[in-house]
Amino acid sequence: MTGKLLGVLLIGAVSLYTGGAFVSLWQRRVEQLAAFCRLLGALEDGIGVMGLSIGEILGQFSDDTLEKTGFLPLVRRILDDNPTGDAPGDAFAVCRTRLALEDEDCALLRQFFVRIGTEDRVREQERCAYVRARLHTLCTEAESALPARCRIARTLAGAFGCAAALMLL
Amino acid sequence: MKVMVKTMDVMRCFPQRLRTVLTDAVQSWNAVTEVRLRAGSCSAIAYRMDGRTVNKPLPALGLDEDELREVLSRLCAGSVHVYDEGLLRGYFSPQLLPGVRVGAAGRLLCSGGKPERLQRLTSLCIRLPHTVTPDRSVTEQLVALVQGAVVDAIAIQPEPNAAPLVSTLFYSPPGVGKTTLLRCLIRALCSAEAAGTPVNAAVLDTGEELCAEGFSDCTVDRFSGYPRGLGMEIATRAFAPQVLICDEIGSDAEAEEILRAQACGVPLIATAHADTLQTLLRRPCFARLHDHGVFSRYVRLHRTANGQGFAFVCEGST
Repeated sequence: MTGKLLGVLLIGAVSLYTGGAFVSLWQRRVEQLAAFCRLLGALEDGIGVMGLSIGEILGQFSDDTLEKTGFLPLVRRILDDNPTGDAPGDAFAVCRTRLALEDEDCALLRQFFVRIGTEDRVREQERCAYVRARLHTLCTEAESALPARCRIARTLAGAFGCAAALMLL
Repeated sequence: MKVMVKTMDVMRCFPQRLRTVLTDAVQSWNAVTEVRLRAGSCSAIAYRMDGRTVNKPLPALGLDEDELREVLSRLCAGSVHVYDEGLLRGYFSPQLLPGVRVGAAGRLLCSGGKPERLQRLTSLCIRLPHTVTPDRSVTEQLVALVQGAVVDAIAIQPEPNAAPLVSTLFYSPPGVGKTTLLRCLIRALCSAEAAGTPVNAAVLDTGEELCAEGFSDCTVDRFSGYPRGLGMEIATRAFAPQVLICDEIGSDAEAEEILRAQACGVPLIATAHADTLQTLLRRPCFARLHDHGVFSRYVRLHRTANGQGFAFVCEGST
């Protein structure tokens, strides 16, 4: 009986943790999409308005979310070591596994970072604006779907936990 | 002679594949004066050896525009947009490589005669600066010259094996084959199989028909969409061509542009519509060019009797 109780408690804890992990993942996705939107806004302004280099813009830009993912520190380090390289593209490829983004988000950002800095000012501004608009849409959709998804995740996790517990008992 | 910029800094601007080919192409980078990268035509490297400049074609390089853009992005430290003005001007000096001049050419979009955007990139010419230590007597004469003193002319040693080209205008009525012959001439002068060393040619291909296809083994830099004068200016400033080539000149505006640009001393090979030399020189634009001695030679083209071949009649020399 004690074992069964322990088992029920364990199942309950795992279910709650799993549900919470999914909720946290979706919340982080929304935060990271918003952070990348801010980064693209800074790039658009820096390139189009001030004519700064990518290195200068990234050196001046600061964002807690992107600092925590490791993307910004890594891109600055790569720029310092090899200014001729593809720092944003390389940094994004390394940090991909640490991000809570979905495949569609990553494909969009990967394509953007690989090509950034290769065109004239007008074209770069246009691309920044386009990708920022796409990211903003994804972020808005994710944000609006978040409460419902969280409820479903918690409910399902709770239901699974209860079902498993009942089966055990 | 010694190259002023570090070889390692230059090499970092090339992707690995190019680095391997370029490293194998020359023994010492100290002697390299130019690296010419081309998409759709033959890349080349120029270096000094035994007192002369050797142009070595690199037909195996086979670059496409994406690779050229990658090199450009590396030269611009990943921020091509910072060099917008330089790209429209046709050349720039990267901050990463002090003293190096990079020429860029391709298809230029113009609006009202003013360059708006380099739409396609087909040529990059990276010129590496060198320090030279001339004889003391030469240095003293140079200083004396600029101080206004009268000195004997400094003897200039012509480069051995250099067959100088002369500015030539080919003319004929429409349909004879001027453009076709011009293409043959470009291949004869600039291809890897050319007799002697291939010549570096700047082709002002305003209509994009002269070098559209079939020149992948030729050492040509194509200037598509450039107004003639601007193209000539950029070519002579940034690409050090041994010859300028353009098809179908004929307007007063073009004559003005050619006059402005021709003071550089690079021979010009061009074509024009006319049936006789007299008719040609009656046109004000050509009369002006003739008065200024732009062309050393006028050559009339016509088909042979059987229509299969061409005949050339040199009808005037200056």
